Amino acid sequence: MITVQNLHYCYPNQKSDTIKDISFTIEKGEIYGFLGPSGAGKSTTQKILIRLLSGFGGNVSVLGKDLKSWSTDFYNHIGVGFELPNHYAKLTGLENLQLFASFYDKPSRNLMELFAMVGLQAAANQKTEAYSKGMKMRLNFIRALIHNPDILFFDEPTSGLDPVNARIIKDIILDLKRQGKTIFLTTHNMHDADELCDRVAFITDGQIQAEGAPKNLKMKYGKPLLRVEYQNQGLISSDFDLEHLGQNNEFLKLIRTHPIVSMHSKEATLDEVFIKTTGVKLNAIDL
Amino acid sequence: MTTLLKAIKWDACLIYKYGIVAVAFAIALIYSLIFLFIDTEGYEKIIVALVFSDPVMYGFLFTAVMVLFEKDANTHQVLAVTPLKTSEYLLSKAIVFCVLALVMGFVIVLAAWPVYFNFLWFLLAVVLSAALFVFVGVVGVSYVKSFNEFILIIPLVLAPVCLPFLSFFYLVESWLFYLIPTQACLLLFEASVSKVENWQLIYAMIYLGTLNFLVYRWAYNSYNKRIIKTDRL
Repeated sequence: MITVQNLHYCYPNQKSDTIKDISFTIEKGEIYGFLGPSGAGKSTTQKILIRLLSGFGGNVSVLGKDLKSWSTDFYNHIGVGFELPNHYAKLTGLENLQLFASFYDKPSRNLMELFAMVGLQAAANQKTEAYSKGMKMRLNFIRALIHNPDILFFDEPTSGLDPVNARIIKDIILDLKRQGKTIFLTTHNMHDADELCDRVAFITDGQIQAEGAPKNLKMKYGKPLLRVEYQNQGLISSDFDLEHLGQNNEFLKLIRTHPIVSMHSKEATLDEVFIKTTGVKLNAIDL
Repeated sequence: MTTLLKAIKWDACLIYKYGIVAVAFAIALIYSLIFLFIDTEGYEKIIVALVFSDPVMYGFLFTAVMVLFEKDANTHQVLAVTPLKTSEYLLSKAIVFCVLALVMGFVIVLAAWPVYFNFLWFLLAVVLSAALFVFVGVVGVSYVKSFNEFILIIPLVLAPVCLPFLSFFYLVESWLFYLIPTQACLLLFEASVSKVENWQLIYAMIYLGTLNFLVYRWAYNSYNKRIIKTDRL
């Protein structure tokens, strides 16, 4: 669906490349997470993929066609949900969607259904200047869907949303995947990436440092241990090697003789994988 | 409906919602009332000066205001990822403000009721002047971040633009005024209410036509590079 080979890009008046020879592919129906700190090259890569930057080196193809050979028809096939709200303040939410929908060659989806999907149906006829930030973000999100595109680009789709609305947005993204949509997700939110993405790429300094399924990355960079918390005149925890756990007499004796409070495998979190692979600490990331 | 027609429809809707149509009507009404209460015979130059100031304002100031509203709202970013082309975006703005200037200018002319009136020259004058100043407005606004900054550059644009009025009102004579586009605009407007030499009309049409093309290209590049920040063609 999206193939990127040896992509590099240098902004005019800059000496070094912002994107340094990166390659990745995204299959149809896949959610691909692009994670990294500010200035790592995430936005530049996305701008190239949505045809806002054209002076790049390497090969990029989208929907089986070289990106440089697409015309504006390209935008009938992709939808972009931006990180910050961007609506005409004097128009209602519905008018905003109608305005943007009118420019596509494809018939638009039922707009009121889209409003209902994110709980905005009551606000559809209100001017967006009266919307809260969360409402504007939800409007941003559904605007990317108005022309039923094959590929979706979402930049921090749950930013500024309360947990309930963030859950709704994440469920819609998972539903879009089930419909066969391909999704390129840019986020700082490791929890969202872990929950939503089939594969993630960690990018720093214009290079992909690690790529893979979140589960595989967590296993690869974690420890094959099981941590057991149990009661023994207080709460005590012990770690056991997962290998041959069934033959580990110490472990078997412990679970037979003590009240167990919790048991967790010690795979790394995606945050920890990120720090290990990029060398960038979380507090240095623009959250 | 083509993408351009859809853009025109929405731009017309937006200038109404932003109150630009109301302001334009108010200005036209004030001018019209002045003309209704004075005898305009022999005041053709005043009619021309006032009618010309409308396309300039609509074209330059109102385009800038509208694009600044859009910049504030970040909507250019979204428009850039729809099939709407930059050329269609610019032409839509030019057409909408040309129509607005034409209607308001005609209202003023009706109120002034000059002895002689040629609609074709009037149409040509409004279209070439308004479109030019729309494109100048887009260029101007691409260099600023806020309306306050834009206010600072208004005199830089309008001061040289006003110089040919010195010749128009017989205060200073110089061929150098023919280098300023306002001279060409004034000649076309003047042709709609009085007689103008043929060579002057030919100069005005060629000069304004060429300038419209060049400033359109400038606006196109400025919009792409400075407003939506793309290097695509």
